[in-house]
Parts: sequence; structure tokens; C-alpha cells
Amino acid sequence: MRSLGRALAAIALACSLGAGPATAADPAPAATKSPIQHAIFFMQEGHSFDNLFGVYPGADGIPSGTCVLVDPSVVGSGCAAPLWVGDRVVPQFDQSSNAFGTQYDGGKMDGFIAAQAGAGADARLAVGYYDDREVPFAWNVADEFVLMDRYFSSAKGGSAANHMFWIAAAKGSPTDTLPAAGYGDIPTIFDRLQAASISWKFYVQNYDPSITFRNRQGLIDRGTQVERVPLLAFARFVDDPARFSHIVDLSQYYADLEAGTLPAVAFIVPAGGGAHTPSSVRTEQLLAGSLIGGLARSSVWSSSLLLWTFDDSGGWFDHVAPPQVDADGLGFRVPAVLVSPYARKGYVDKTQLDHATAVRFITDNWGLEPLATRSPAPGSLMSGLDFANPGRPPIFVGSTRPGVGVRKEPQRAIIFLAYGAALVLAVGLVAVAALRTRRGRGPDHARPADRARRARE
Amino acid sequence: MRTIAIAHHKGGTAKTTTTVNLAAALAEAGHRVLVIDMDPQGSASAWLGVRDPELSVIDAIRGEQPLAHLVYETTAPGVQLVAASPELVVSGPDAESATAIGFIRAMEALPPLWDFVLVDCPPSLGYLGVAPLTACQEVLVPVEAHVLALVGLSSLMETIARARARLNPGLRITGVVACRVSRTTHSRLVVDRLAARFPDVFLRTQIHESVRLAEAPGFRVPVTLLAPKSSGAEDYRALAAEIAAPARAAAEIVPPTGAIRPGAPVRVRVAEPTPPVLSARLAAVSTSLAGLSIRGRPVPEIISASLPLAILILAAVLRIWRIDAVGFNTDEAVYSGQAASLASDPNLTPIFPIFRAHPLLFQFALADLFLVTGVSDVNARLLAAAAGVISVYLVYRLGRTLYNRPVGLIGALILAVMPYHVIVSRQVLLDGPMTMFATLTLYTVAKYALTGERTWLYAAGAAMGLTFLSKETGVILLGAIFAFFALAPSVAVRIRDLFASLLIFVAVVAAFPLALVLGGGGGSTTAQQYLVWQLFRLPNHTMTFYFEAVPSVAGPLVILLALLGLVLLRGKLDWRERLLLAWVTVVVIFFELWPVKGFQYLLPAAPPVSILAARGAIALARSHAPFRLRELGGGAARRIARTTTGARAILAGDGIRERLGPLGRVGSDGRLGLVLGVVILSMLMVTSQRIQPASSAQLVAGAGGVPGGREAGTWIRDNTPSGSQFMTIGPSMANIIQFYGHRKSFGLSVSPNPLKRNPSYDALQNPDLQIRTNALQYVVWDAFSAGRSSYFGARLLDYANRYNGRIIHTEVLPNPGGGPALDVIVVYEVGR
Repeated sequence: MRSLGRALAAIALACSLGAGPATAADPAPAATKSPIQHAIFFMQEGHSFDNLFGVYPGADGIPSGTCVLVDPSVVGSGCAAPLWVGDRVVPQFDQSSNAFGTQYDGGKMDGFIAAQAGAGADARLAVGYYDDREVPFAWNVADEFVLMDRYFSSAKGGSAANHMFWIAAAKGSPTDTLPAAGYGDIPTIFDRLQAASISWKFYVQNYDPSITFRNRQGLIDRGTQVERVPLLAFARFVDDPARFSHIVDLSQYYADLEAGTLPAVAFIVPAGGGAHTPSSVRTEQLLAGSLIGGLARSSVWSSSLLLWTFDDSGGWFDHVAPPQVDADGLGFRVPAVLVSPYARKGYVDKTQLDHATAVRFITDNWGLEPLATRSPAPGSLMSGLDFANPGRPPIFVGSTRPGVGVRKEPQRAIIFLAYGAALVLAVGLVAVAALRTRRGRGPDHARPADRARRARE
Repeated sequence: MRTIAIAHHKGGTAKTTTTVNLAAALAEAGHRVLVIDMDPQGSASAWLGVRDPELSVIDAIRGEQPLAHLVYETTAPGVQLVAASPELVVSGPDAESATAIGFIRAMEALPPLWDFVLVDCPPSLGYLGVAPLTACQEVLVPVEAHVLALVGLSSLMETIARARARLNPGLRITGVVACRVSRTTHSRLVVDRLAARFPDVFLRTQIHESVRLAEAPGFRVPVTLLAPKSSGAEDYRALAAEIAAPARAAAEIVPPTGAIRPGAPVRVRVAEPTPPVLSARLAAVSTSLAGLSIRGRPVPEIISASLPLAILILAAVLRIWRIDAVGFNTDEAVYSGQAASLASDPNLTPIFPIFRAHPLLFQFALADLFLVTGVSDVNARLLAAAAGVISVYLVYRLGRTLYNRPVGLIGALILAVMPYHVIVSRQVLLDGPMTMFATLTLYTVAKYALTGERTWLYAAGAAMGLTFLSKETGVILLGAIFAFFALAPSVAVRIRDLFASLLIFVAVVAAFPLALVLGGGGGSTTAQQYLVWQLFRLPNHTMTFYFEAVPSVAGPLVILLALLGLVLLRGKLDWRERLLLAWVTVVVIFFELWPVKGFQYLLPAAPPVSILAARGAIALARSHAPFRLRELGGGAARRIARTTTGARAILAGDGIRERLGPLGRVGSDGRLGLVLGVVILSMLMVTSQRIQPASSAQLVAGAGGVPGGREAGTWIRDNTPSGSQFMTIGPSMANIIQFYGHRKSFGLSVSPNPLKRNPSYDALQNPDLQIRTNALQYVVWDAFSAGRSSYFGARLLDYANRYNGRIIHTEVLPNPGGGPALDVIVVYEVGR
């Protein structure tokens, strides 16, 4: 009887919540297991961990002496050491599951050049890396917050699959590509949120609401919007105007920050092309900068968390062989940074994670029914967070690296010494003059008149 | 001021020798000395190099000129002279008494500009000889060490006792000094007898026979100049020291009354002075002027002793009252920011470079303070205020050294309440500490001029170095020092000593380039850029700026008093005034001609002006005294009676007046109190108004804090992400936001051309790009900067509008004209 009563109460509660317009402005925050009231997940595309953080101090980057074989199948074809990419133009790399097989090479991790044979001489660039000259912002964020160097892409088969793991903790399709009929009835995290009346939005840069799984064929680039926003391949989200209205343009993110109406859960993806080679690694940093900067100066900062990651390695070299938990992955490591007032400063988190971590965090934090069926279950973000301390005040992370373009600090000791010595010398001389007059060398130069006056008084 | 008659009715007792050489020795020890030659033979005048003078003491005796207008400089530095005249010899008792009365009256009106006034008496006990005993506080009796001299001594003592009983109750014997002491047994016996007869007044010092002493009159210089190492010179120095020593001045030595038995020792009793009725009344007047109501009673010693302290406390109160009511202005923010950076403050070090335009002595002191207390705007201002209070103290010392204690006290009081000095020393500016060290320099130069002790000249070089290290523009005062030595030939200076002093200056100043070059960090580049920029900078104010901005706060009455003093005492312009005037003139002329002008730049002139004004106030008060006394005159007898009473009262009350310091002197005619009261009150009114928190959106740079700046900065610190960047209209508000907000801020008006901007400022290259690339997130508009540059004020708002500016914070001030509060600072968030 009691359990039935509780169930009825829960239903009544759900109805009362559902009865009102479930807007993002709902002032009553859902009960959370942590101080985090706003979780933001931002996914860019196509970089391996070693590509952006391979030479970042303190992380598991490119080991010294690394040399990647030009062609593992040809003995004596030589090897290529990792090189700094700089501003070189990079071709589009192959990032299919076929390419993964070559790159992975049964765990030997030596096929990164061979996998890009189609790029000709530029294939060697796949063993390239950037540093803080190109990605100063990402490095600054890592300095200030948490960098994860055991964060793997969930699937070895490219964008569509990894985005699906991100929102559903499952691949959702036997192939690497988007099923023409959509993903059917696979549950996503948004179904859970919707059921629990927890506010959420999916922000899409340059969003075109007319492009869904039904009409994406034939749209050469803009069709990838559906890969990045897998919800657009779910009939129940596309056809239900209430659900469909949760998918909005990115400009709404800033408006929501400004108005204080950011939902509890936000997913953000960039415009088509994302961060794939050969797009500019510098401009993709600007987008992250404005998302994080906007969050830092908004009213929700103190209860927020932002996980910035990349869907797949984009064909770039990474030296860590990903654990193969099933036929789909894991894929290679991708860069991942966790931004939050509760994030440990400059911490490198070595917990094994993948994109399904986002889903796990949401279900954990809001007490929702788990989605994941994969084993082992995805890792938790918690080791990078420290809720024992009060949250840090907002910090605006810029694109200037410490020590770069900053003046050389003068040696303070010399300044103190020089001025201190001058002061001592000068005051000493005045004192000597006064003492000499007072003590009287030869004639009594003391101020007898004063002393006389004082004595008389 | 001690007035001493050198008296002996016998000729040839070394009266003139003692007068001249004692005067020179006293002056050598730093006292201001006036010799009044009352001997018709005029030997003292001739000895001191004044022959056939146009004016003499007779002009004062006839009431045609005050004594103070008859003063001549002499061959002895620091000794001035009122010359004798053959006309002092008159016949007939009427003429003689008129001469005596005229002298007494003239002495009454003598302003207290000297430490010692020595009157060389004629060798007679007639009216002319007694007049000095009536007019002086003390009598010094030189006795030749010969038995014959002892004979006349008894009758002299009798005359002194009579003068004391009937004319001058305050008269006391400074001492009896043995002169022309030789090695003969006879001489020693006479000295022993003198010592036995006058055990309490016989002076320890003896003046020995000396050839050099006898030669000196022929060279018309005192023996201390003719033969500084000779025994004669040493003897007179010792005599000067003994006479000026506290014990000698303190004892109220009363000569015995009644008959003196020859050969019997004279017992001298040391009595407590009893203030006569009149002086008690004067004391009451003075005290009520000081706001105290002790009627009819001598003022407790503690009041006089605590006057300097009281002035310093007043100075401190005016400088720290509500010192944190309004936050920093831009310069204060910069200097405190530099100091914080020097102290390695984690928030401000990345924002404020240590090396900017000026040397770092004050910032260095601030940094030491910050290391102890942490970065604090109030503490920084307290340090600046301390420099202001020390300046007031130095003015007291300087006035006392150059003139006397009253001038020191009044000068210090004037500076303590002067709005100009109060306003500037309430701010963290370099000009306050620079003025402090400049005043110290002035003091050391004055000490050198007085004592000839070359260590003071070295100290002057060192103090000048500190002046430079506080603010490099202080270097112009070096010009004032050289001008002074050139214009005051009476102050002897050896080129070698001057050169050594200059070397010390260079050694102290070396801290500036050494820290720049050895410290590294691009300091020397900044300094060079700053020099280039300063040289080609356009004038920021018109030529009339200082005339409009400064006199009203320096106190127009103070300037008037200083000028009046120069006019009233025009006969007395000596090296002292030259020194003060050189200081004032160099500062005013240099900054008037220098294209870059600042409200606070003339501050180093304030201390010398205060002292000149103090001197003027006393001169103004004194200048009326003789005229008033003359009005009292009726018949000869009444005149004698009145003037004698007046003279007695004033002289007898002198002990009280000394206790009262300047107020005691006020009492002598009340005018000084009135003058001072008006001047001080008028300044206090301006000061009290100026130290209120400003309520206007119009500000003069350097005149105070910026209302709302600290509050806006603190809000920014607490409510915006650290590391975010700001754009303001100009660099002024940028500095304030940087200091209080801990956020990098850029002034829109700062030129991107490095040659056209103050190299201390960072220019904002392409604000559009900065906002669009999210490098710049906030824009701050403020009424003060917008008032100065409406163009950049409007451009800034353009950016706010173009990039989705949202007002996130506003600082308001009450509208002085009533109506809604005025927005003075508005913070916009910009960009997406």
C-alpha cells in the first residue's frame, strides 16, 4: 500500500510539474546530488589528445623518442618523428573505422601515416601536434581547470557514432553512418530529462531547423548538422514541436546566460565543418573562448560545469592504445577539459573516461535512471571536482599564455637595495651633520639658545 | 631673544673687544646676533667694518626710525650692527635723559629677529650708560685682570642693583668675565679674588692676553675670522658657549641690593621670577587668544612646551580626517599600483609595471609598508599624510633655525592648515614626499649657512638626492641652491666642499639609474621613452593655470603676509630671505615655463612661503608698536614714567613671553594674534571645505580622489571574472579600475602611436577586433573623463551600443542641484 501511495504521489508530482509550461526559466531547481545546477557539454571535432596536448607539461603526451612508421607493411620504410604543425595547411584526414584499424594496428599504434596514404607527402602531418602558439586558450583552460588525459572517444568509427554515445551512451546503429530512417526508439538522455521535467536545450551554431534526417541526403556539408545533433534523427524529437523547440541556435545560449535562463542541461555543437581538418585550429579556439567566457561572466557560473571535448581524433596521431571494450571502441584519446568553479586548478585527471561520461554525470547528478548498457560503465567526472571547497570566483581565461608578451619582471631585490642604500646614506649624512653640530667639534655648535629656552621653560 | 648690555664704566676693560668677538663667536655657533653700538667713539662699529654710516642708533633714539631699520651687515657673518654716532655725546641733563628715554623706547620696539642683542655701553655711569641697563634683560661685565679694575667694580654693582630696584626689576647679571688674563702671578691672584667675590656670576671662561686679539681691530674683523685657531678666538668661543648655555640663561641671578663691602664676597640669591601684574594680564590675553581661559595666571609651562606637538597634531588631524571617504584618483592608483607590484602583490603585479615615469623612492617606501600591512589605499594615504606632517615639523625647525622659535611655530602652523599642502599631502602623490625632502634640503642649507659646518653641506647634497629620488623635477632646486650661494656672498662656501656635496647628490641619485639598468625588466627603455614623450608633449594647461588654481588654496593672505614681511623688513634682507626666495622663485618660474602643468607641482614653494609669511606676520604686528607708544607721550616726565613702566613691564614679562612662544609675543600688542587668527581661520575654512568628499562631477587632476571610482572598481573585482579586460574612456579611469578591480583596463583615448602617448600606458589596438574576439568584455563610461573628452566619451558609448552593451553596474552621486542622482560611472558588458 505504502509503495503504491508513493508511486501515486510521484505521478501527481510529475503531472503538476508537467502541467505548467516546462520552460528553462523554471525557477525551482531540480534536486541535484552536487552543487552543479547547470551542466554544459560542448563537443568540437577532429583532434586527438596528443594533437593539442601532446607537449603540454604534466600530461601524458607524446613520449620522447616516438617515431611512427611510414608504412608498417614495408620493412625499412623508415619512421617519422612527431612534428610541430604550426600554420601548415593540413589535408582532410581519413577517420573511418577502416582507418582506425590501420592506425591501431593491433595495438601497435604505428599506422597513423599509412592510414593517410591518400594524402601523399602530407600524410606525415598526421603525426603532427600543436602547442600553445596555436591553442593558447585550450592550454590556459587546462592550466586553470581540469585536463583529462585518459578521455577516449567512445567509438572508432567517426562523428555520428561518437555523438550518439555522447547523448545516448550507445552507438544506435550497426554502421558508422547515420541510418537513413533515423535512430528509431533508442532512449537518449533527453528522454530522461524530459520525463523528469528537468530543463534542457541543445544549442547548435548556425542552426537550420529545416535540416533533419529526412532531408539531409544530398546536402553536402550542411547535412552533417544531423550527425552533430543526433536528436534531428529521432522522429519523436523532430515531430513533437514541444521537444523540437529545445533545439535552438547558439545565439540563444548567450541570451539565456544574459537573462539567467540557462537550462539545467545544455549540449552545444559548432557549425558544420567544426574543427575537422583542414579548418583552422585557431578559430575553433575562439568559439570555445566565447562559450566559456560567457559562462564565466554570467550569473550561473557559481553552479555550473562545462565539459569541452572533441568527437574523434580526426585522423591525428595519439600514442595511447585505446582499450577495446567492444567491437565499436573505444576510439583514440581526444582532448577534454572540465571547467567549473569546483574544478581543481591545473589538475590532470587520469580517470578513464569517454563521451558516455556526459550521460553518466547527468543521470548521477539529477538522480535519473541510467542509460548505459556498455560494460564497463563509463567513468565519472567527479575526481576532477572538489565540492569540499567553496566554488572559485569566475575567472576569465584569455588567449595570452603566461610569460608570452608579458614584460620581464625586474629584479626587486636590486630596486630595494638601490633605494634602501640611497635612503640610508642620505638620512645617515643628515644625522651625522646634526650630531656633529650637537656634540660640537671645536666650538660648541649646539643650539644653546634652544636648550636655554627649554631649560627655562 | 636675549638682550645683553656689555657694561663697565671704566674705559679699557675690553668692553668693545668682548662685544665684537663674543658677537662673532655667538654667530659662529648659529645664533642671530645684533650689536648695538652705544659708545659715541664707535669703536665697535669701526671694528665690524661699518665706517661713517648714513644711519645710526641716534635715528632710533630721536624716534625717526625703528632700530630694526638701521641694521647693517658686518664683516662677521651672522652679526648685524646698529652703528654708533658721535651725536650720542650730548650735554645737559635734559638732553641726556631724552637720549636715554629714546633708546629705551627704541629697544622696546625691537622685533625678536635675533637670538642675542649685545649693547656695547659707553664708559660712563651717566644716563647714556644706565639706559642700556634699563633696556636690556642682562648685563655682562668684562673685568680686566688687574687690581685697579676691582676698584670700580663695586660701584658698577651698586649701579646695577639700583637699576634693578628702580627701573628694571628683571635685570640680571649674565656674568663677570675676566679679560686680558696673563700668566703673571698678579693676574692669577686677581682672577682668584674675582672668583671668590662673585662665586655665582664669575664666568668659568677667561679671556687671555692675545696679540691676535689686539691686531684684529686693525683688520676690521673679529678675531674669530682673523685667526680662527688663535687662543683669543678659542676663548671667545668658549665664552659664547658658556653664556648661551642653559644654566647661564636659566638662573635668575639677582644682584644684591644695599651697600657692598669691598672685599666681601657678594652672595647672590637665585630667585623665582615673580610675574608683574601687567605681564600676567598679557598672559591672560594671549591665553584667551589661544582659546584657553586661564585668566590672570601665568600659563602652565606645558602649553608652551607642547605648542609644536599641538601644531603637528592639528596638521595630522587635517591630513587624515576622513582620509578614506573617497577612493584613489588615477595618479594615486598608479603609484600605489607600482608599490604593490614592487611588493610582489599577486593581483597587481601583472597589471602595474614597476618602472614607469618617475624614480621610486616613495613607491619603495610604500612597498615596504605594503609588505607589512598588505596593499591598502588608506595605509598608502596615511604614509603620504605622514610626509606632510613631517614637512610641517621641518618648517618649524627651519623657521627656528633661520629666525627664532615664534617664526618656526607660526610658519609650521601656516603650513599645517594651508589648504594647498593639506589637499596634496592627503593624496598618494610624489609631490608631498618630494616637498618633505626639499624642505629637509632647505634646512640643511640653512644650517650650513649658519654654522659653516661642511657636514651640513654634504647633508644638503644627500637631502637633495632624496628630493630627486622622490620626483625627478626636484632637480630644479639644485638651481635654487646654486643661485643662493651666488646671491649671498656673506655665506662663504668652498668650491671643494660644494663639489663634494654635489658628488654625494650624484651618489644618492644613482639609485635611480642603477635600479633601472641592473634591475632589468625593460626599465631603462621605459625611462628613455618617457623622456622623449615628455620633451615633445604639448602643453596641457595655459600659462594662467597656476595663477587661477594655486593662490586661492595656498591662502591669498599668506602670500600677502610673505610679501608684506619682505616690504616691512626690507632693510633686513639678508641671506636668509635670499635662500627662501631663491627656493620659491625657482619652483614658480620653472613650472610656469614648463609646458606640462599640474595642480600640485608648486608644492615645494609652500614651506618657504609659510616661513616668509610667519616673518611677515610678526613684522606686521611689531611695526605698529612704536607708533602706539609715541601716542602715549605727553610731557617729558610723563613720557619717562610711561615709557619706563612700559619698558619694565615688557622686559620683566619677557620670561613669561618666552614661555608662551608666539602667543606670548602676541600679547605684547595683540595684533599678531589678530593677524594670525584671521589668516589661520580663513585657511581653515577653505581646508575644511576641501577635505570634504567632492560632490561634483568636475575634477581637477591632483586635487583629490575620484568619487565612485573605488566603489566601481571594488564592484568589478567582486562581480566580474578575474582575467577579464576593460575599456575606459581614458587612462585615468583605467588606472583606478586596475587598482581596485584587479582587471587589466585600457583607455580608449590612449594613442596607438607609441610616440604620441605616455609610455606608461598601454594602448588598445583595434577595439572592434578585441571585442569580437572576446579579448575585451567590459566597457566603462565615467562622467569625469567624458567631461574632459566628449569625443572619446561618445566613441566609447558607440562601442557599447554596437556590441550589445548591457549596463551591469552604475555608480551615482547626489545631484548638487537637486533632482535625480547623477550617473558618474557606468559599467557595460559587451560582446557575445
